[in-house]
Amino acid sequence: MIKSGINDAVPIIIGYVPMGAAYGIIARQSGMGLFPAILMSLIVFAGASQFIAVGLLAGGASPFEVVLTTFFVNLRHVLMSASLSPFFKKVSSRIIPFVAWGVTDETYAISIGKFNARQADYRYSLALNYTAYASWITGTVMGAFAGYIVPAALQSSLEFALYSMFVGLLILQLSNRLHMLIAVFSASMSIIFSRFMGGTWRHIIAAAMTGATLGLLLEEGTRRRGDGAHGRRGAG
Amino acid sequence: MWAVTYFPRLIPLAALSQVRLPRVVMTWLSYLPAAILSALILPGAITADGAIDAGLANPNVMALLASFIIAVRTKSLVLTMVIGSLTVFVGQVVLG
Repeated sequence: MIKSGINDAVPIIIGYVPMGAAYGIIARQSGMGLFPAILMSLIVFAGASQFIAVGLLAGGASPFEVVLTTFFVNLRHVLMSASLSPFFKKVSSRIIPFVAWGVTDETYAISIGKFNARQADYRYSLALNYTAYASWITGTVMGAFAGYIVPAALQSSLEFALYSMFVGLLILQLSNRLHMLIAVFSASMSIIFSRFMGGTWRHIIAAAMTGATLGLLLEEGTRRRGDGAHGRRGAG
Repeated sequence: MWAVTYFPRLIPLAALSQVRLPRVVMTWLSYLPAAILSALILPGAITADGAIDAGLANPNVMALLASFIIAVRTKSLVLTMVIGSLTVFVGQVVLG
């Protein structure tokens, strides 16, 4: 389990090292000290939020504004954490906080597929999450300390690799037509919501919740029709 | 910063794993992965400088299409990532 967790972190590392380096460089360029820049990756470990925080700080935002924005940007992790929770029923409550620390968009995307396929447990999650964490810090140190610069064209290509990874993982998730429909619907809603809501995070949460709710309604609808045809009612 | 990024990840996992969730909630949760992933991909993947650009002149659009085709055909994560990044790279070089 530990080995497969580390192996599955490889696609994340490919994206995290250059992205961490980009963060490190931008943090330093915007006037942040070497130590605070690296410390932020150590204690925050949230890619998008860190870029936003550096931008806000450089723009003269108050610490309160930065913390509040970070909180909202990371609210989407509530959904991911909730989605993982059924697989941690038998896991000690001493271990869960350590797993939770490493839940990011990318580690979630990889691990939820493995959990659904019954190929993961908490050890897998720990190995995956902390390998990803290590690569994020490594990238940050390379950028902040060594000014390690990935050529611009290569940088955006490697960052796009994470989206390709999401696409690959999404395709693996789509076990039936209803899931496909929900995926198309959620993506469309995400675009529509981003038009109305702007910013970087609200539309993701809104679209994911709307999509899951439609999935629930459609599945319950079919279940009821099925039950009716058999002339009985579900007990639960 | 630590607290506001940690608690959203910690609280649902810690709290919900300890209770027996009703079937309706479990069903709802079962649709979340597909919903979250697709909401993350679009419009994120095709957003450049804060604006959605769905035109074919945006290398990311081509790369997204390529990623979908490769993922459906091969189901290989690594190959999907390689083709996706390569498309962005080549697209940027060509469109300069």
